Amino acid sequence: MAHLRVSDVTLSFGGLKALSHVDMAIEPGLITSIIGPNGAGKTSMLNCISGFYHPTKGEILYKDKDLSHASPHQVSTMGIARAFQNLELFSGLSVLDNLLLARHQNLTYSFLQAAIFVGKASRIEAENRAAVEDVIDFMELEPVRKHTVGSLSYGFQKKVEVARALTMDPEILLLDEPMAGMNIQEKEDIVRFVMDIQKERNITVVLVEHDLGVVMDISDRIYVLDFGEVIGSGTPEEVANNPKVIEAYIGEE
Amino acid sequence: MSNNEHLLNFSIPQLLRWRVAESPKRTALREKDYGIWNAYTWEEYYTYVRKTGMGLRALGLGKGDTIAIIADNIPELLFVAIGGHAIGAISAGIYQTTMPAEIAQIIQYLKISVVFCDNQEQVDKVLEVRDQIPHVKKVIFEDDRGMRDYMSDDWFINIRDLFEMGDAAHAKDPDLFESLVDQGKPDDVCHLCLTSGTTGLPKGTMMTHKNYINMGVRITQVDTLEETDEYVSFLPFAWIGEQMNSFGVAMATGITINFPESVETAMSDLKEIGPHFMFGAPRIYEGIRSEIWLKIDQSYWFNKLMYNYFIRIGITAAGYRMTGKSMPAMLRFKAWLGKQIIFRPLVNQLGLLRLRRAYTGGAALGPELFTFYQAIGVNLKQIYGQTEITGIAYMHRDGDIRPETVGKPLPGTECKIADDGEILSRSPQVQSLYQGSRDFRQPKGFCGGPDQHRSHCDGKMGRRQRIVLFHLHGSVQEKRGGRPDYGTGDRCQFQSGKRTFQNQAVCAAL
Repeated sequence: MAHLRVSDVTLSFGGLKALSHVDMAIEPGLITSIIGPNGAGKTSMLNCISGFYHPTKGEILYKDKDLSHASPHQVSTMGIARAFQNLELFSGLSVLDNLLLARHQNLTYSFLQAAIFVGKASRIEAENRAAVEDVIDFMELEPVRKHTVGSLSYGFQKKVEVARALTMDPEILLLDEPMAGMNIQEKEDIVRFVMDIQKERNITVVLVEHDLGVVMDISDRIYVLDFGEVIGSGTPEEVANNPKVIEAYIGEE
Repeated sequence: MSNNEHLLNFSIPQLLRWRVAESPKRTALREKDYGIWNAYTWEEYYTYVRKTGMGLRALGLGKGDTIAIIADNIPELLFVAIGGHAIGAISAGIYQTTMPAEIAQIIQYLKISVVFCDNQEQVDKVLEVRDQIPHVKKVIFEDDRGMRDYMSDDWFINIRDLFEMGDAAHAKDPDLFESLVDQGKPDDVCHLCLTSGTTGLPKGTMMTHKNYINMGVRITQVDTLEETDEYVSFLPFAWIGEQMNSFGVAMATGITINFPESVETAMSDLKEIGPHFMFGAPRIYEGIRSEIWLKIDQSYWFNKLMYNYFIRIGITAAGYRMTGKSMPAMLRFKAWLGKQIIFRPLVNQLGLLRLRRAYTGGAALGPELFTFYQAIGVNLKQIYGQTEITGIAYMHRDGDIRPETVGKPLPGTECKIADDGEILSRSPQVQSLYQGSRDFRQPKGFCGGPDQHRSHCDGKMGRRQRIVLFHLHGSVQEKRGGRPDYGTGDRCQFQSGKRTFQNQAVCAAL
């Protein structure tokens, strides 16, 4: 049973079809990768799932609920979190504050309770801090906990971005090019985290990535997009031997 | 506590038990985890030692079996080591950076039965050489992250499962553990400490309970520590310096050991703890000074002006202080002013305001660093010693910090200079027996410099170039009864210079 099912999704901007008749099934507990050349529609697909775009046609079903017209905040409360390609962090705030902010949905106390700050409010704050610290420990961000995000290296900022998505306790994590712009060592680091996210935290991962080597190594399922269409799907071996995929990446012989 | 000679009659687990009886609710260990400092009282410390000890026994370990520890500094490391000691087993530390092939060699050489690793990284290294170490019965790990795929293999065991096994064994026979602790003797071997191995393969020095406890007792005779003092544990456990503090000094004085959150956060955790004494290799002190210089350089003009003015005064004043001379009144006033307006806040920012003494050892530190630290009000002192003498044999005394020397011998330490210029030291801390071989035994219980063991020339020239000479003060003939090349206790002292003294002249390698 698929966790998240994308059926016949088409997304048009005027005459341009960013996605056409895309079908995907994201199975629980696996790492599913979406690859494709530039402009193939990978990020558009993630945008449709996370509610930033609404597909012109088709539906996105998550646990029998249709996400195709949900807004981003509704999607995120349903357990789908996203780490952005271009970091969406508050660069003037500390790592800790950025992560605490990501748990705003869990702050269920009232204004008055917050003003008094005994009982419920302080208890909830402590719970949230504990959840954030768990992610800090997981992503090994202890040395930079109190540093402002803007003062960190790009590699660290990317880790904070992934951590921010993790802090929301998602069931599905959408990672949009987490390794872009990184050196080999940083990439290996992130790969290890992605695998640990899947294995240790039992989170379903949807990965959009350019680095084919990484994708082939860690994915359980791969979807290949080209000009908005799915041209191949399956296990890494199946995709690697798919003539259409080879053509899209290497060109015709 | 002034008189703690009676502690020398304990083994390390017995001393821990005595601490529990003295102050059960006082904090013994503290670890930062998930951003919070979590404390273990002496009582809890002992309980965990019991859980681990009984657990290890349930794994089939007994007297004389050895446990290797490859881990960053965490409380569990002490539980495993002292838990092992309690049942008569012997611990051994391996550096976390050791490569798999070398780990296999060390494990074979020390005949290790159980390995304790802190995380998957270390576990993987041991796993890689598994076929070469058939005598290893179990690998205990602390952090279960990434260990999911290994759990089907019963070669691995989570330390929490070990605790449970220990509890179950204790419930079955509640008196057994205490009787095992009672059986320990101060002269039993408790730890195999690897020597630096710069002159060949590392040798496992067979340290006894008494070596460590004597070290703790002697060092506090020179520099006293209070039960309420804090210490931050960030040196590698495989190094004698860390064992000296966690087995010897902490047990003998009742200070609290603090474990940083991770290796990278050690310096910021140090700031939060504000230790009363610290112990480090020269690079740590060089690092802190660079950080100060960098921050001052980035500061605005007024700060720089004040700093540059007062650091000069501080250095002049430090010259007086380090030699124990009295300062002119004006200099004293200016130094006091500098301390109040610049150096106290500065040192506070580093987390060193409560620091009474900082020790440096393991390698030579530039003289200007001593002066610098003394100038900003940090009492930095040199120590000198070897693994075989449980870490420290010589130490600067307060008010007598001559940077070109390594200080005076600790109480109970004799020193002697061999004909070829090597420093020989003798004290109850000396342990010159090595695992698996007795060939290296030194005559008359003396222990040599780091370049001992018939290897004066091979590969150790870098160290031996820094030769320091010392001579005995006063009339040697009279005090020593005609043994001019021989000094005891406070009477001998290192000084720099060329080797031009006559028969009193003796020399030392740093």
